[in-house]
Amino acid sequence: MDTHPPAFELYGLRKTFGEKRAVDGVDLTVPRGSFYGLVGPNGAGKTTSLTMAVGLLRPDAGGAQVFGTDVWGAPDRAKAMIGVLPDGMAMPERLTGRELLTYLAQLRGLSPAQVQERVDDLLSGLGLDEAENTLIIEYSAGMRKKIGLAGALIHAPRLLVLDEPFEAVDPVSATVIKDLLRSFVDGGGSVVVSSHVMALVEQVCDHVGVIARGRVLAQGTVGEVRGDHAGLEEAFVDLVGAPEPVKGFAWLA
Amino acid sequence: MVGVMVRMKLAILRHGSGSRRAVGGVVGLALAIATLLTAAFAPLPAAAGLLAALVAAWTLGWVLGPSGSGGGDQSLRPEYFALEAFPVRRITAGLLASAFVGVTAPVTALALVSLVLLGARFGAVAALVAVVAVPAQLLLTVLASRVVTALSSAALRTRLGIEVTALQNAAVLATGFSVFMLYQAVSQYSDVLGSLWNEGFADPWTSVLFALPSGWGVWAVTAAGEGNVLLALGLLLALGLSSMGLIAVWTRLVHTRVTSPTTAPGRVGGGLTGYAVRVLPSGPLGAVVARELRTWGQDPRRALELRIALWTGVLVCGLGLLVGLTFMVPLAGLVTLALGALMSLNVYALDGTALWQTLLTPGAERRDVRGRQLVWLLLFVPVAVVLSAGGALVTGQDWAWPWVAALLPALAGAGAGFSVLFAVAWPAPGPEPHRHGGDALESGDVVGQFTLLFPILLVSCVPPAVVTAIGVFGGLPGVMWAGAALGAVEGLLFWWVLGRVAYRRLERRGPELLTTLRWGWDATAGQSVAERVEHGGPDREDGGGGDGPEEHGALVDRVGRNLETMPPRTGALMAVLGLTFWLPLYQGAMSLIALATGAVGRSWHLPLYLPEALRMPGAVFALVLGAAMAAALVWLLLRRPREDGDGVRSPGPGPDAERPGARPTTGS
Repeated sequence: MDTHPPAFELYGLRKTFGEKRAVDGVDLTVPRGSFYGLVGPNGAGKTTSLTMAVGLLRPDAGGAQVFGTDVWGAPDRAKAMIGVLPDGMAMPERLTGRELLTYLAQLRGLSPAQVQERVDDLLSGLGLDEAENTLIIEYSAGMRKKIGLAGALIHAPRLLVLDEPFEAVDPVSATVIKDLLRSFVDGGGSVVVSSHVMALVEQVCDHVGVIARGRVLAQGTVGEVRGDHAGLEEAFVDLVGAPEPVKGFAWLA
Repeated sequence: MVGVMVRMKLAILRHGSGSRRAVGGVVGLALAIATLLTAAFAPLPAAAGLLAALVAAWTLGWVLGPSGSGGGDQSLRPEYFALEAFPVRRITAGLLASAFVGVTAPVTALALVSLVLLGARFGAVAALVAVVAVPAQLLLTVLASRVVTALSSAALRTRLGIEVTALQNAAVLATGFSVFMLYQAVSQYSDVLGSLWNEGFADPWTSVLFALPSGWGVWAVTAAGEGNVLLALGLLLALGLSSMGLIAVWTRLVHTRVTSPTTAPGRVGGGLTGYAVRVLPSGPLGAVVARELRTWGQDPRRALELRIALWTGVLVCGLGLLVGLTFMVPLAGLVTLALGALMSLNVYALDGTALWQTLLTPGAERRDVRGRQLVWLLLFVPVAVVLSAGGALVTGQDWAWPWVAALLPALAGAGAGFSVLFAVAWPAPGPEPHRHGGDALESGDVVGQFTLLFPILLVSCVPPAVVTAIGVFGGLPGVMWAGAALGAVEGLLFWWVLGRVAYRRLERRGPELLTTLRWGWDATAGQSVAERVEHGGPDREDGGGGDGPEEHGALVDRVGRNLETMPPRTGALMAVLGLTFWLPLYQGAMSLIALATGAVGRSWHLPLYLPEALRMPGAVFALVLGAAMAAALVWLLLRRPREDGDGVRSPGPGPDAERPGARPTTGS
C-alpha cells in the first residue's frame, strides 16, 4: 500500500454515449501539491472525464481515487476531500449569493461561527459582496463562475476540481482567482483545472495533461510536455494534429 | 419562411417521443368521436346547445391545457427567429402554421366536423355555412390558445400575474372536483343526463354558450338552419375578425418576446419565508428546509403550482357555500392535499442539475429528501387543516370529523411520500432553470405521472375510509375512531417508508438522475439517457435481495424501467386504463349498495338500467371488470421487462466491463 498516494488519480475511465466513445481509457495522475492543467480541444472528453472522476457520472469502466480513497467505492470519504466546480450546471437559482454559500456550508455541517466567517471571507475575497443580495439566476456568466468557486471552497477541501474556471471571467477577476488558487497550492492543496486556453495553462500550471478524442496524449510537468517546442501551444498542435488550413470560401467576400 | 417553419416542426416531431402523441391521439380521438355522435344523434332541439357546450369544452382545453402540461408546445420558439431579417408578422405566421402540425389540431378539426353533421340535419344551406365555420372556429381556437399562453407566460413575470394564473387554473380544477358532487346532489331530484340529452340546457345557458366566441360556429349553423342567413354570415364574419384581432395581439406578444427576453425580476429577503428562513436551526436539514422555502417562494413555476393547490381548496370551499352544498366544505382540505402532491411530483426536474451539489456532499441525499418532505408538509398541511377543520366548524357539520380525522393524515403522509418518490424515480426533465427562454411556465410534461399518482392517492385513502365507514354506518364509535388512528399510522408509514425509498434511490442512482436531468429524454434512441446508462453500465446491482426497503427500491426501479421503455401503444392503453378503471368499480359498488338498500334513484349507474334479473350480475360484472382493469394496470407497471421485442432496446452490460471501484492491479 502506497503511504503517499497522489492527490487525484483517474484510471481506465471509459464512457460511451450511443455510438460515440466520449472517453476511451483515460489514465491521469495528479501529484500532491500540484497545479494541474487538463487541456484539449472542444469535445475531447475533458468534462466527461472530470464529471466521472468526481462521482457525478457513472463510468462504463474505470474510476478515480482521491488521496487513495476510491470515489465510487467510498464516495462519502472521497467527496469530503474534493471541491468541485462543474461547467454549465444549475445551482439553487432562487437563492442569493449569501444564501447559497450559507446553504452549502450548513449542508456540510459547519458550525454557525464557521459558516459566518467563511461566507463573509469568500464573498469579499471574490468580489461578490456587492451582489450578495442578488438571486443566482440573475448573475452574469462570470459571477456564476465565481460563486461556484466559492461554493467549491467553503468546506476547505484538499483537492479542487474546476471545469473551465476562467471562462467568461473578466481579467481582473481572473487574476484574483489565479492568486487564490496559487495560495491554495502553496498551502499544500492540489488543483485540477480544465481549459482549452494553452497560454493560461502554461502561465498558471506546473503539471499538464493533454487529452484528445477521449484519450490522454501526454502528461507530466509543463516542461516535459512542452519538450523542444517553443510553447505549450505548439506542442499541443503537434500532439493533436494541425487542421487543414482553411483558405476562405469563394462566396464569402 | 412559413414552409420552412412547418418543416422544422415536422422534423422535431419526427425526432421526438411518439408515446405522448399516441396517448393524446387516442384520448383526443375518443372525445372527437363523442362530439360527432352528439351532433349526429342528439334530439334536434337540444343538439345545438349541447354542441356549443362541447366546443366550449374543446376551446377551454386548448386555452388552459398548455399551462397544465409544461407550458404547451415549445418545439418552435419565437427566440429562434429573433435574428432573422424579416418582420415579426412572418414569424407569427410561421408559428401559427406550425401550430396546426401535430396531433391536437387534426383531432380538434375532426371534432369540429360535428358542425357539418349538425348543419346537414338542418339542410343544405346550414351545411354550407358549417363547412366555412369549421376552419374559422379551428383557427380561432388555436389562436386563442397561443395568445392566452403567451399572455400568462408574460404575466408570470409579475407576482400579480402568478396569482391570477393560479386562480384561473384553480377555478377549472375546483369546478372539475365539484362537478361530480354537484351532479350527484342535483340528480337526487331528477334525471339530469336524460333531460340534458333530450331538452338541452335551460334557456339562459344556451344563449350564453352561443354568445361565447366558442359558440359562434354552432350559432351560425343554427341560424342558417332557421333561415336567418344574414345572422349566420355575420357570425362567420365575427369569427374571422376575432381571429385577425388575435393575430394582431399575438404578433405584438411575439415582438415583445423576441426583442426583450428577460427573467423574472428578483425579489429578495422579506416575506413569510424570509422570516422562517432566519429562525431555522443551523444544520444540514435546516439548510435544505431554508432552500426549499426560498425556492417555493421565489421560483415562478413553483409559486404557481403552490398557489393552484391552495386556491383550488379555497374555491371548492367557496363553491360549496355558494350553491348550498356544505358537505363539500370539509372535503376541501383533502382536495388541497391531493393537488399539493400532484403539483410537487416533479420538483427535482424543476431544480434541474442543481442536484450535483447534493450528490457531492456526503450524506446530503437523505437530508435533501427529508427536507423536501418537511417543507411539503409545512406548506400544505396547515392550509388543509384550516380548510377542513375550519370548514366543518363554521358550517357545523359534525358528521365530517371522523372522516377528516381519518383521511387528512393518511393523505398528508401519502402526499409527502409519493410526491418526492415520483420526483426522484420518474422525473420529467424540462429546460434547466438558468436556461429558461422567454417562458417561465416551461417545464417537463407530467401528464403521465399525474394519471398515475391520482389513483394512487385515492387508493391510499381506502383503508382508513373503509374502517371509518364501518364505524359510522355500523354505529360503532370505537371502530370509527380506529379509522382515525389507522389514518395517522398509515400517513406516518407512507411519509417514512416512501421517503426512505426515495433517498436510498437517490444515494444509489443519483448520477443517473443527474444525467436524466442534464440531457433529458434521448429522442433518437427512444429511451431516456439514464436508461441507456443503466443498461450499458456495469453497475447493475441485481440479485441482492436484502431488507424490505431495498426490495421496494428494486420494485421502484422496475416500474421506472417499464415506464421509460414503454412502447407508445402500451402507454396509450395504460393511460386509458388509469383514467377509467375506477368507473366500472364505482358503478358496480354503487349499484350493489343501491340494490342492497333498495334505493330508488338510478342516477347514472348503468347496471340499474338492466332488466330486473340482470341487475345483480351486471353490478358484479362491472366490479370484476374494474378489478381486471386495475390488475392490468398494475401488471403493466410491475411486469419484468422483456429482453427483446416490444421495441425495447437492451444493449446489456458487456461481460468484460470493469466495475467502477474495482481498481485494476496493474501499476500506472
